[in-house]
Amino acid sequence: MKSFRALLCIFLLSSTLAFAAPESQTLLVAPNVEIPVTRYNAGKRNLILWLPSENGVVQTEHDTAAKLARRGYSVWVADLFVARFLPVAPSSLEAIPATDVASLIQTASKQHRNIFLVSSGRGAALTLSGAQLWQAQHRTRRIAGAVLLFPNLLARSPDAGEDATYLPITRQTRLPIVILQGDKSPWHWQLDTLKQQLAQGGSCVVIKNLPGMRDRFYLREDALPREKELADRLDLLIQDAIKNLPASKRKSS
Amino acid sequence: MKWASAVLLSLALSASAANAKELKPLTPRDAPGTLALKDLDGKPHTLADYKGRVVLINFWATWCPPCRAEMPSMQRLKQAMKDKPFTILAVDMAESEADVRQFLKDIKDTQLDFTILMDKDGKALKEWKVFVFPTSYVLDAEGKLRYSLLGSTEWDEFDTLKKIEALLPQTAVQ
Repeated sequence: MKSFRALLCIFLLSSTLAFAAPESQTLLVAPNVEIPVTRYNAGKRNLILWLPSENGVVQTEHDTAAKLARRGYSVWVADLFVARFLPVAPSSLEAIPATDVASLIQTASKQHRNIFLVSSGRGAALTLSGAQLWQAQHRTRRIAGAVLLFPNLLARSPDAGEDATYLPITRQTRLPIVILQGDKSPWHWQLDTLKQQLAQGGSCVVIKNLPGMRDRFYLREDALPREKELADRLDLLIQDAIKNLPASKRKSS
Repeated sequence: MKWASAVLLSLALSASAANAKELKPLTPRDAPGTLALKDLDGKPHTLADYKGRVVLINFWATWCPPCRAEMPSMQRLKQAMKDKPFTILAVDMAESEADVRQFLKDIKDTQLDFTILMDKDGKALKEWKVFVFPTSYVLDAEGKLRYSLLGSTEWDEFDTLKKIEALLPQTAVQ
């Protein structure tokens, strides 16, 4: 009878966790700067901090966060644009200070053991800058790694036949990183260079090829059926990437 | 009503012209690669084959919407330059011949007959350090890089046409 009750308790508890509604919260990171964060809670162990790309926070990211929470990962989806009253645009993303990200990491680090950063496109630059800022002030390895989808870390588009110039943060980052990159992209062919640049700062990088995918596959209005299909499975893709983070295999399993 | 249509049309045309990107002049320099590739029929090509001709090299792929959009204007450019030493080499990024042939079939309004080269393993793309699709280069008759363009354009617009014509060897112009 006791064991039946225990099983019932575990079942009810897990159901509650699995279907817990997301919580909306604002985190004060600077005077008059409150970051709206949607929290999908699934315990204190692993937290995914999802930071926006130049496309802002999109519904697919919320849907994926909810699925990841059912898989045991707490997820915070942070809207950094709203916090600074900025319209969603690439130039706005450039205007968001890395301190906002560092502050989010700081708050997260007090509540969770392993923090995984996730972002895409140009959001990768802000994510790595925030991580570096936080790491400069803290000695713990609370940031277990970053999962970057089709990251854009170029300082600018290179001129004809010239070597690409990457943002300095690329060479200053020291993190386990998984890059998810579709092969329907010119960037696919330049990944070796990006990997070398990231390695200069001490990052360990694993590259996961996404066959048949274009950049921004889950953000595109003209997404192809195969891209929509993968967008529906983004949770599995990110979970798999986290498990393959070079230095976090033991922690996250 | 006709006036309104005319105004709308001219506004649309001027907006289109304003959005079109311009060729960026480069300090003349050697091409970063030989572009030794096979075409759709398996025939080998290299840049050296086109010495004495102005060459437009266009890196593209069928899955890239702006690449597809500018293709008809490239065909019109070819037509406009038909009696001149001018060649278009469209380098497809790592797709199959079947994909490209299907794309050619899908474009019903325009028959594309310029040369399409197959960069099967991305070697040319790496050599030419292409990070944006489409990316185009215009080479002069000596094989030197003279213009680049990141992104798509309307290739048969007056200014673009004039810039390309200006690169033609004097004998071809006379």
